[in-house]
Amino acid sequence: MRQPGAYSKLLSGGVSGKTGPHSLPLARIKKIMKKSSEDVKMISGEAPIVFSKACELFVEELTKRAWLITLQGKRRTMQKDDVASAVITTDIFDFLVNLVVEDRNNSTAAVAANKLG
Amino acid sequence: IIITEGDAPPAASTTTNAIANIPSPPNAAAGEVNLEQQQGFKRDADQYMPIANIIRIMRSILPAHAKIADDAKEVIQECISEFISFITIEANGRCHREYRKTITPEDVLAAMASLGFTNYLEPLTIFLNQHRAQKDSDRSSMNPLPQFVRRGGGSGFVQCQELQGSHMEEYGELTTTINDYIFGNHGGGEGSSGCREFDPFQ
Repeated sequence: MRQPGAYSKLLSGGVSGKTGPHSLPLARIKKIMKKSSEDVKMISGEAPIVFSKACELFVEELTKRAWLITLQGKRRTMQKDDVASAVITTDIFDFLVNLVVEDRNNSTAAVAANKLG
Repeated sequence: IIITEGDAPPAASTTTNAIANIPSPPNAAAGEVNLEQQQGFKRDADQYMPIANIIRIMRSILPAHAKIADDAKEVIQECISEFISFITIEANGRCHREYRKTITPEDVLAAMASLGFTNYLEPLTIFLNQHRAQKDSDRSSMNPLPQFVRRGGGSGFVQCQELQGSHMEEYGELTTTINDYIFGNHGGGEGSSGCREFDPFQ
């Protein structure tokens, strides 16, 4: 019986591992995609693969921004509030604001969010 | 102790309910409420990316001495799922508007562009093209049927599909290996149906 995985390694031995195992599980990505809306029906096989890379880029960006805030606070441990501040101060992360600010009365993130309006 | 569940939390909960929050059943006694709350804090792993993978990506960015609080990891985990949903809904809308049923990678990329993630487009396009080139070379190499292969190697490797120029060199080197595979293990005229659109989800 053919083993596509083993065979492709023969040919791609010299190629960089970028198209090899993906850093995030594709089946789970597909599951989350399906859950996002009732009328998501069919998903091409390649779409989760694009997402695996996109999520990697997303985590990298969010981490970098949060870490900058950690450094501004002269700390070495990234806190949840650092992530929250990164979200609040980045326009394209607006869709995440409700996720990071659960208590609008307390927490530095809530105060910052309130200030930004 | 008998634990009775109240209404089960909706399976298709919208993404804004990303923080797992199971309401305690209305008739629960005090002891049972505590257990429910404990269970409420257990995350439904299915709706998030595995934390180990996320930490690995974060560590590739951060300096060696950096530490990450557990709740920071968890909130990022939630953000990723929200990101996927956010983009997917936009991509799906695009599909509907164009009367298509299947969300394609191009839909995903277009959705990211319109939602402001323009910085991701270039690396993602490169990644996608690499993946497709890889897949094409896999498929091409697996198709050769005995009748299309000439023994003797070199540029005598012929097959039914059109080969792109860049692949010919690879095949030249590996023809012996491929010929061994075909004539060594091959049980008969097995077709190429096995490798069409290898979909890991089916």
